[in-house]
Amino acid sequence: MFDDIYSKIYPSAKSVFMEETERNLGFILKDKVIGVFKAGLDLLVEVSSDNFHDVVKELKENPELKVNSFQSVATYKRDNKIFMIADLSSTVNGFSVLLRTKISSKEAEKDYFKIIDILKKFYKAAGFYQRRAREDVSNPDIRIPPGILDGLDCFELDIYADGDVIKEANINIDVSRVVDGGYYKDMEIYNLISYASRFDWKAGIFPEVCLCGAFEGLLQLKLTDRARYIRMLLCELSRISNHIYFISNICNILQLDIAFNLSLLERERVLRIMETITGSRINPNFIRIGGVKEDINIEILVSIRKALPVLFKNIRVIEKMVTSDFTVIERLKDTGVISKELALEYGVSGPNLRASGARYDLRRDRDFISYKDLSFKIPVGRKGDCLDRVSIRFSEIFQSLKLINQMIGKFPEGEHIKKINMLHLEFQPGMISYSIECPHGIFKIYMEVGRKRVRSMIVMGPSLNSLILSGQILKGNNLEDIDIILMSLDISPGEIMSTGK
Amino acid sequence: MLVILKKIFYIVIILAINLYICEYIGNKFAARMEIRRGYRVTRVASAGFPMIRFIKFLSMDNRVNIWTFFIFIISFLMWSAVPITGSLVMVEEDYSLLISFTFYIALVIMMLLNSSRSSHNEIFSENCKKLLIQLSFIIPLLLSSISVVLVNKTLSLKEMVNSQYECWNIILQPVGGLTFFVSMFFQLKILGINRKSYLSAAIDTGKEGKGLGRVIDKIAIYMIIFFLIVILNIMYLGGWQSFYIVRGEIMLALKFYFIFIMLLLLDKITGRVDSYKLMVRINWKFLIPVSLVNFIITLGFFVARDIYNLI
Repeated sequence: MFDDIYSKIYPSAKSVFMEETERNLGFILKDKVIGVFKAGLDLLVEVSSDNFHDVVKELKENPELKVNSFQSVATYKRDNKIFMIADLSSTVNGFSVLLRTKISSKEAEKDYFKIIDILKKFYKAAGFYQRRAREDVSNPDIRIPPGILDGLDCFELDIYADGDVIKEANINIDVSRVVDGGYYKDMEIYNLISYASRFDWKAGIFPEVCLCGAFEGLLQLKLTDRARYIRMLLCELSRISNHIYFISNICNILQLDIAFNLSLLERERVLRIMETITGSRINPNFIRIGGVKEDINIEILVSIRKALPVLFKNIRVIEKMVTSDFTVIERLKDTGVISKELALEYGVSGPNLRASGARYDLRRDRDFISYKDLSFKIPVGRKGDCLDRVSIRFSEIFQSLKLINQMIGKFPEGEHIKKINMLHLEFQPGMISYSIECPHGIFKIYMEVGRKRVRSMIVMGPSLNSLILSGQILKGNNLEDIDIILMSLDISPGEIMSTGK
Repeated sequence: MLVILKKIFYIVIILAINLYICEYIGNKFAARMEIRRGYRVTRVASAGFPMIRFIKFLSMDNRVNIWTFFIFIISFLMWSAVPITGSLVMVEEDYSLLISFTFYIALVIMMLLNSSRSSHNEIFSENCKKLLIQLSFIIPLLLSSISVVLVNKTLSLKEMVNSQYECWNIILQPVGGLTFFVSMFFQLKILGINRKSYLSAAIDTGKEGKGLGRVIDKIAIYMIIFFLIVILNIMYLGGWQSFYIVRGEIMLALKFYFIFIMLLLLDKITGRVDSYKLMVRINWKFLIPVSLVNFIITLGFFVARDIYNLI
């Protein structure tokens, strides 16, 4: 009870910290920036393109800020003006900064690459967005077109090899871009929510949760306990289904037929549970602003509880089958090693980061939905090789099963949604950024909202960061390890296709 | 002359029937697994399925070259010295083991040359590497074969079978038999039994062609598999020796299919072995030392017994 009263009166420790950081940042960058604003739990810094270099330098080198990680870059159009957003974060101090700058519409391309060049001086990962010289892309030794690697049909891979050792790997994601920021412009909000699950079709519930969370943040809406628990339940089921799919993909590459088939059977079991709750398997369209679409009845909870031990037993069998085979261990061990520093520098998050040894999970570090009510461990790897990334996924599945068991044990009563009249819904015009911990990493949405509609929206998926990093870690490996390294990073094509550039 | 033609005809018929049955069994396994997984029954692999696949292959773009022709010829020539039963052998030779092994290694080298015709860098380097891995797996196979030659004191496959009338060589040479089987199994994993072969599966099929060349590749792979199973039967499992009232030919067929199905099952539960690291771990650090020790012990035993009369 006291907790409830406390959380109503006082803001959370995180938001107090962000307000402090906002003040500090405003003080440090006083002359160089147009303004510092709060957008959700991130800070938006408005900079003119002339001062961009000084601001980035200050952010990177000031010992009080230490903004050391590059997340992504995106552009969007609003009122015939082009804006560019660079997402940077400080893993030491635990905050992220969105640098927004206006680029002239006449020489947009020139300005864009000028800013990328500035970013590249301070962050290696920004080199991915730079303009490529014609001779670089014209004649690689090997070009792997999209669709050749199973499930990774969203990029083109150019490889320069010496014998069978990779010297350089270039990734081109332009081949699969289907959506730009303008697509969401002036879309009705209820249409946008139903569209959101396409952003990540491996775990479709997370973009919906993220989008609705952003709108709720704008409206300052507090959810009922039951709605939160239903969201958490669906999130964990989705996480399990995504991780099992990941394992099935790994088994498919390693040609472990029996483990591949067994893991797909288990995924089917999880998807059926999701289907009974939401009515759909891949694109749930179930989360609404203020809660969820429908309530869960007691029979479904009982059936989930019955399925848990079966799932646990069967996944243990698959884990034993995969990790006890020495041919598998031999192949995964010391392949595609990502060090902790490299992962942080490139903005990799989620299980890929945790496999490298960094204990960072938004579920624990921020007050995301209601995870603080539940007890769970965050599994962490040591080396950051492919084997670690596979075993981390297995551990996360078991933790998710544990979480679901706890949730069903104390599933709260009450309403599943706060009723809102969507037709007369009005927002305070402004911007918001909202991030969640999805199975691939930290999924972020940045929006600028008008009074009734979304004026622009940028999706920043974690898979792109993993993909950018894969260009680095492929170097020095053999050609035969390409597919296993790329697959072990759990890249979701949906995210890359809808990420703004 | 007519007798030889008749024998060739019988051997080709037997090989063709076996090809059909083994392809059918392999497809059936894959189809059963897919149905179990919850797929719709669109590909149940009925009795006519191998034929349909063959026709499908032929309807594709054909790019046959000289190496494909050599592969086709050698994959049948390989059977010239191998006795399938006591009387069914094309050419009776005292050195039939040597001849058949020569053809077998030549076929593998031909496949190497065939894969290196590709202008696609990745296919070229991948395939060459896999075939060299395949060639290195032949070393333990040869070492364990020499041990059997020492035990039976003959290079003729027919005499090897006849000398096993009391007990099979697997009892005298259990380690050799095991290494032979393991090295054979890993070779078959690289060749690919019922999934797409590592050797013939090209990343860019548009460049490689999909038609007759692919069929001949597939036939050659099956021929290597059959050859190794028959040689394993002849050298270690008594060949066509009759078992009580069961005829020798039937025994050979039973053993053949038993080993083939064992290989299929093992193929399903083990991962792929096309990596250099794995090859070193399995072959150079395990199979070759074990077969070498087995060979040295066998040699030492016969030297001690026959030359120095110690045993």
